[in-house]
Amino acid sequence: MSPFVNHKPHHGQDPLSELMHTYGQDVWNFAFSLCSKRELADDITQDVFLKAFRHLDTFRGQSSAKTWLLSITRNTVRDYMRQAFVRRVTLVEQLFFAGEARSAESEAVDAIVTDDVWQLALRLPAKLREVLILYAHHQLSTAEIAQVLHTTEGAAKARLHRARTKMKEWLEGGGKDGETAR
Amino acid sequence: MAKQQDEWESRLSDLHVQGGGFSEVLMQRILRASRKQPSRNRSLRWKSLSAAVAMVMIVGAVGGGLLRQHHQGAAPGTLTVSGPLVLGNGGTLHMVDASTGWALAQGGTQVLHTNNGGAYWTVGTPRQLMSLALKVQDEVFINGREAWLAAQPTDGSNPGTEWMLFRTTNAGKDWTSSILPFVHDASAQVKLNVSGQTAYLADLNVRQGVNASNVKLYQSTDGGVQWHVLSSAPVNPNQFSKVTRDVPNAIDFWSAENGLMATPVNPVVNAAGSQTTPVVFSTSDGGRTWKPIRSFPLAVWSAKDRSIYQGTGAGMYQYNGARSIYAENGQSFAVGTQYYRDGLGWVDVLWTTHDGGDSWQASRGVWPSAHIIGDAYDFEDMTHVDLIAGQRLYRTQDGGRQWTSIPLKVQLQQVQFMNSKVGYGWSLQDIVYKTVDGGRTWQALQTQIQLRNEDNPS
Repeated sequence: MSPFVNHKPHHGQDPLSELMHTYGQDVWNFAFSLCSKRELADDITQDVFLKAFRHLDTFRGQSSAKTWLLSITRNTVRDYMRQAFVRRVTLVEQLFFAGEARSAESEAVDAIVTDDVWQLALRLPAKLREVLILYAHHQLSTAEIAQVLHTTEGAAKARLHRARTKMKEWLEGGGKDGETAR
Repeated sequence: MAKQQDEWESRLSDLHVQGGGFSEVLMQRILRASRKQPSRNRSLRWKSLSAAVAMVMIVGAVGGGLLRQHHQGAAPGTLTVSGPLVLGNGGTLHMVDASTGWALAQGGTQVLHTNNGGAYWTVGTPRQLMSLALKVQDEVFINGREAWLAAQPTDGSNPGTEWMLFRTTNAGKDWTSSILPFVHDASAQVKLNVSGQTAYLADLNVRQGVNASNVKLYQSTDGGVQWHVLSSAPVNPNQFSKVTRDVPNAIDFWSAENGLMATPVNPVVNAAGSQTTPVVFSTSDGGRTWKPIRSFPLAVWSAKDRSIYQGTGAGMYQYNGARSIYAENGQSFAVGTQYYRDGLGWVDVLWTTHDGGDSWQASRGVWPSAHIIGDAYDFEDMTHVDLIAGQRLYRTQDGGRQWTSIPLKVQLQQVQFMNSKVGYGWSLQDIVYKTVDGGRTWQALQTQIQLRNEDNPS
C-alpha cells in the first residue's frame, strides 16, 4: 500500500496536489539542471507527476518519496532526450540559437541563471552534473544518489569526487572554460 | 549524513531561474492533464501531452522582471523553444513594421514569421525546402503575408535536385512551388526581384569568368510558375558576383516595367576621372533591355579636404562599388556607394538624383573608423537614410547633407528601422538585436519559436 494512499491529505488536498506542493520545486529544479531549458523542464515536470500519479499504488516506500520522484525525473529526462523529436528540437535550437564561439544556448542559460557557481555546474558533463546536483542541491546521501542513478554507492562517490574536482578546477581557474565540457 | 561542503557547494543549495520554476500555473496545468488520463497505461509521449494541454505557457524574462502570459490556441503537437535568435550565415531579417516580420534562420533553411515584434515566432518553412534539403539563397518579403524564396540544392543533397521557387501569400502557412530548371547549376548565384505578379531572377554564372552571356535574366508574370529569358545582363559576371544578400537593394523596380540595377564593384577610377564601366543601369521594358546611366558621377576624392571632386586627378579614391540602390520613381533614386584609398581608409557616399540620373548630388562622406564588409544602407525614403559603417550608426534626415552618428557596442552588420525609435539589426555573429530608443542601445532579441507538428518525424 502506498504511503500516499494511506496518508491523509493536508488541507483536503488530493495525493497528486500534495506531491506537487511538497516536491514540485525539487522535480522542476532537477529537470532543469539536466536539460537547461525552462519550457522542457515544465513538460518533464508534468510528465513526472503524471507518471507518479499513475503509479502511486506501486510506490512501496522503500525509498523516500523525494528519491523516488527524482529517479522518475532522471528517467523521464533520458526518455525525452532519446526521442527523435526532442533530439531534433534540440538540434533545431542549437541551429537557431547556437553561436560559433560561445553558444547562445549557454548565454541564454547564463541569462536566466545568474549565480556563477550554478552556471559552471550546468556546464558539467551530464554524468557529473546530476550527481553534484543531487548531492549539493537536493542534499541526498551517496546511498540515495546511487538509488536515483541506479548505480552503486561506490560509483556515485567516485562520480561525485570527479564532479567536485572539476568544479574546483574551474573555480580556481577563474574562468568559464566549461564550454568544452558539454 | 553529515556533509562537509565548500562555500561554492552551499551556493548550489538554492537555485533561482529567472522566468522558470515550479509555479501554480504549472501545477494547475498538471492537474488538468491528470483528469484527462483515461488509463494508467496510456503512453505519455510528448505529443499526447501537448494535445491534452491546449494552452502553452510562454514564460520570458523582460528587463530582469518576469513576464508570464498565456498563448491561446497553440496547436497540439507543437513545442516552443526560446533564446536569442541567431540567423546563421546566410540568414536575414526583414521586419515589415514594428510588429510583423520575417526571419530567414539557420543559414537560410528555416523561415520564421512574427506578429508581435519578434518576441514570438512561428515556423513557416516550406516542407519541400526541408525534405529536399534546399537552402534559400535569395528572398523577397513583399509584406507581412507574401514572400518569395529562391532556393538552391545544398551540397551533398539528393542528386538531380533542382533550384526551386517558393511563394506564400498567407504568412508561410501554405506555399506554392515551382522548379527553376534554367538555373545553370547548384552553385549559381541568383538575385530575385518581385514587383506585383512580375518576378525577375538573375542567374549569375560567376564561374565562367568575364562574359556577359553568362549572366541571364528571367522573368515570370504568373507568380513564378512560368519563366522566360529576358536578355543577357548588361554587365560582366565579376561585377555581379557581389550582388548577393549583402547588397540587398542592388536591383530595385518601382513598377513592373521600370527598374534600376547597380553593380557593387567597379575598376579604379583613373586620374582623368573617366569611368569605363557603368555601374548603374535602368530598364523601362520590364528588364528586357538595360541601358547604363552614363551620368553617374565619376568618383574622385580629395584627400586634402575629404570632399568630392569630379574630373580631377587630385587625391583619387578607388571606387569600391554601389552598396545599395533605392528607386522611389523614375526620377528620384539614390545609390549608396563606398570608396577606399590606402592609408586613408573607407568612406561612404550617398548619391541622389531627382531628374532621372541627369544630375547627381553627393552626400557628405561618412568616414568610419574601421571598415567592415557589411557597410549597409537602410532607406526609409530619399532623405531619411541609416547607414551602418564601422561600429557606428549614421543617420541623415536630409539626404546626406548632414549625418549624425551613434556609437554601437555591438558590431551590427545590417539595420532596419521601423520608426524613429524601433529598429532591428543583426550582428557579425548573426544574432538579432533590437533597439527601442532610436539606436542608442541594442539588446539581443529574446525570442520564442513555436515549432510545428510536422517537424516531429514520429
